[in-house]
Amino acid sequence: MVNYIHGEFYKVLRRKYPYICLALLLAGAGLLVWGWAFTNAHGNHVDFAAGGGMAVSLLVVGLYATVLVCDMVFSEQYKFSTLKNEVAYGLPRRRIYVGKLLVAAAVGLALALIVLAAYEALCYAVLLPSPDSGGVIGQVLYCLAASIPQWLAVLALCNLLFFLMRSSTVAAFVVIGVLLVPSNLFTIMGLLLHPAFTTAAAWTPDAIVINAYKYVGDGSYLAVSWALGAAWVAVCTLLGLWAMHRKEIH
Amino acid sequence: MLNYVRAEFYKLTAGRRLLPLGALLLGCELLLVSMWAIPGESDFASAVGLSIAFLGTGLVVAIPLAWAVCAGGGRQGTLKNEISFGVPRAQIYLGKLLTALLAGLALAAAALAFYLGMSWLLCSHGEAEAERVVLGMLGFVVLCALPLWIGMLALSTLAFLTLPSNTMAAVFLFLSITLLPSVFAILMQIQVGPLRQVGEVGEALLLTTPFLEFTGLMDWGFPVRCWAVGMGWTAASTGAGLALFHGKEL
Repeated sequence: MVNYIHGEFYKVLRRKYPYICLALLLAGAGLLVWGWAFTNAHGNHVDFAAGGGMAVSLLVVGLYATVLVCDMVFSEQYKFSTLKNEVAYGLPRRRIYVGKLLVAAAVGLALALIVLAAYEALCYAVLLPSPDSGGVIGQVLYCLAASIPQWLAVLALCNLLFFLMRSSTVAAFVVIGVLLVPSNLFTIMGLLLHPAFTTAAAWTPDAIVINAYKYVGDGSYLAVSWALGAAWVAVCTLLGLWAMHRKEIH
Repeated sequence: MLNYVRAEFYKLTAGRRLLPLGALLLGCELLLVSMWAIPGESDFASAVGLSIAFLGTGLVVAIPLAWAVCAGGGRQGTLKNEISFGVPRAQIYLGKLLTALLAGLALAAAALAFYLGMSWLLCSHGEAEAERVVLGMLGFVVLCALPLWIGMLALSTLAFLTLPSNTMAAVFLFLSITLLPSVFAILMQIQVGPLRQVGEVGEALLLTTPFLEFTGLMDWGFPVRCWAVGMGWTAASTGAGLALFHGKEL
């Protein structure tokens, strides 16, 4: 297993894909900070609390970025028919599935932490100091802690779909559909049919990530997020292992 | 050009991408109408009024539609055959865009007709005059939404024909719909003059903004603004797409 993970890391780190994504995300963060520095140079007052605190509302990007991370690790192995080589070489299918999931999780978390740390450091260096910097960092860390299990949940779903479907793009559309459709549908059903659906809408991954800032310091919200995330990961991975075991790989 | 569009249209309707997309769209509509009609207290006029709130879905549908027309041209695809056959690149790009546009118009007309037909059958009927008024409102709003859908379709065509990975294109397109509006909304909430102006300008240029204003009071200036924004996006992304596609190595 360790060897397999090592090999997958080697492959993904030698592709251009993760570095392009990292560069794009860092460029986006840099552009945002530059915009604030620009307005500050024209007589404004954007401090660290306003700029650095905005990271909280950008954490939702991580839900969509899971698709990119899975794509860079899985790298269209059905389209190029290279997955069958791994299977024919004699690697247990379980190891292939779990190994790719673990590598994707590690790469994704590393990318997220690098971008977030770079963003906060830039804000701290460039923007005006604010009295309560520690509080802002604490707020961001709380929201990060609430978001990580949801990111991992969507990542596990991505890995499942990338293994099950022949086209990575179709898998990406399905993941985005799962992110967008139930939360909106439950909101409508909550309004039209029964208030219970409103509660269900609040427990979908994007709602948990988006609303985290309202619950800063609340341990039970973190517990719900981690429990739901763990359930997603467990269900998706078990389903994936079962399906992968039976799947005919061309 | 006409022959190329006809051939692309044949490929699209013979492929297995358009049908699931259309079925999913109509299925969601059926679910919505039955949720709305089965409690028994809704009439046709309010069902038509409700549909105005859902026109934004067209932006989301534009992405898989553009993918259905444009994808399949990558490293192992058939795009290089088209080029080596001698079809000019501009014709390929514009032909695919035109095909997506025609298919999109047909899909939008089918979706609207299906929704209205189902509501007509399932809902109770009130005053004929009130129904005529609300149908007129829907027509006016669809006239405003149409250029915005076209703009999104042109942007999606640009992304799928020029970016290296379809999966990456899909993720960035969805992020442009879901994330950009909230970034500008946050900028507008911060009580700093120029920062708010940046937010306001950005919000005025976005394809998503007019969909939030459909329920408000509208005059004839509103469709003019929608057409300006939508055609601006169409022109800009088609121009950029032609330039980038011209230099792309296939």
